[in-house]
Amino acid sequence: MDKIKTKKKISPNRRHLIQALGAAVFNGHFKGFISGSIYKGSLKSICVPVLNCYSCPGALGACPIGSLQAVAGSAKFNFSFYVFGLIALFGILAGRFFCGYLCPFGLLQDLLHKIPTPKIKVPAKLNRILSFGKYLMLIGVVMLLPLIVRNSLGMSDPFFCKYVCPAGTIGGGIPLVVLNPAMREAAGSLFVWKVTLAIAILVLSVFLYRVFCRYLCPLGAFYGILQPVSFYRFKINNKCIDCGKCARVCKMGVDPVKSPNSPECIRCRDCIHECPTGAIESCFGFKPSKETSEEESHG
Amino acid sequence: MNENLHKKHTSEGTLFRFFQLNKWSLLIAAVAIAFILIGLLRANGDEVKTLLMKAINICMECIGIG
Repeated sequence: MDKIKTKKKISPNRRHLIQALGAAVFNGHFKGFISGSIYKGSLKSICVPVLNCYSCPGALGACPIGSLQAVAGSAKFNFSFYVFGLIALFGILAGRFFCGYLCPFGLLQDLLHKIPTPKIKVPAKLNRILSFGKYLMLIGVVMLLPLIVRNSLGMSDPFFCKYVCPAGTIGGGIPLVVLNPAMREAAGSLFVWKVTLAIAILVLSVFLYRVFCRYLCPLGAFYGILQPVSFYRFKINNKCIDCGKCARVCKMGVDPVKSPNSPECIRCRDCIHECPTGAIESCFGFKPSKETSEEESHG
Repeated sequence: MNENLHKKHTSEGTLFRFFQLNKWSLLIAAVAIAFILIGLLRANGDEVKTLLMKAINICMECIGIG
């Protein structure tokens, strides 16, 4: 009865191919990269499920975090039901699957981490403390700041996009500044700050896996909150021999046996690929049955 | 006849189990869909128009200029 996929093991390379396809689809306005302009069609009223700046020359849809701030920062509305509903729907359907499989900035970090250098392993306690950073970004910077800090017209800045978002700098800022002479003229200290921050995050990504996704991404935080109750779930069956291979292979610092639906898991499926007994399974819509699940007994 | 009844019973059972096991997920999905509909209809669609207007113009803040 359970719709459990046990045979399909998606290799990391195939995942990168899916990520690349996702990036190409979300940024399918290719002529924008030549002309230095952005797509202005009605598709832009639909949010994509990943962090993909709508000011990227190729972007066909709207970035959900940018949209949330844009509507909340307008003079007319304090909150966007439409964008919040869309993000919640994406999150409840698949949780952080979008982070692992479709996010273009996630792909960039994945590729950078493949550069052969010594890697940093963050101690579990410090990792847990730092991972709260993304929740602070979501609640503090994305949701509360636009409500608190408003100008005389009742409008506010998109603080996360303006001061933090490296995906916007790399996908939108740098291409537009390079391609558009007027933008080049206008670039000042804020642009320097954003480029510096983006470079720092990219350099860190070489040594530390998905540093932005783990500690700063507000969209990952939103999906992470919904992950334990999302329809797409992982389960541990009774084939588990407690070898610990899954926890060792997880670059996000998750122990899948203890917490198969952890908010930190980006569903890369490396644990499923690595498990020697096929004890980790993914399912859509059904919780693990009690006789096979070890979720309760371990966690 | 009996076979058909059995099939019906099984599919209803599956549906019941699905609803029972995913009640929180379904509730959140329903709220999310309700939010989307409210957003679409709110102020004669002005919420989505606000988003579209922002998204079709280059966001100076997002790219680090304004």
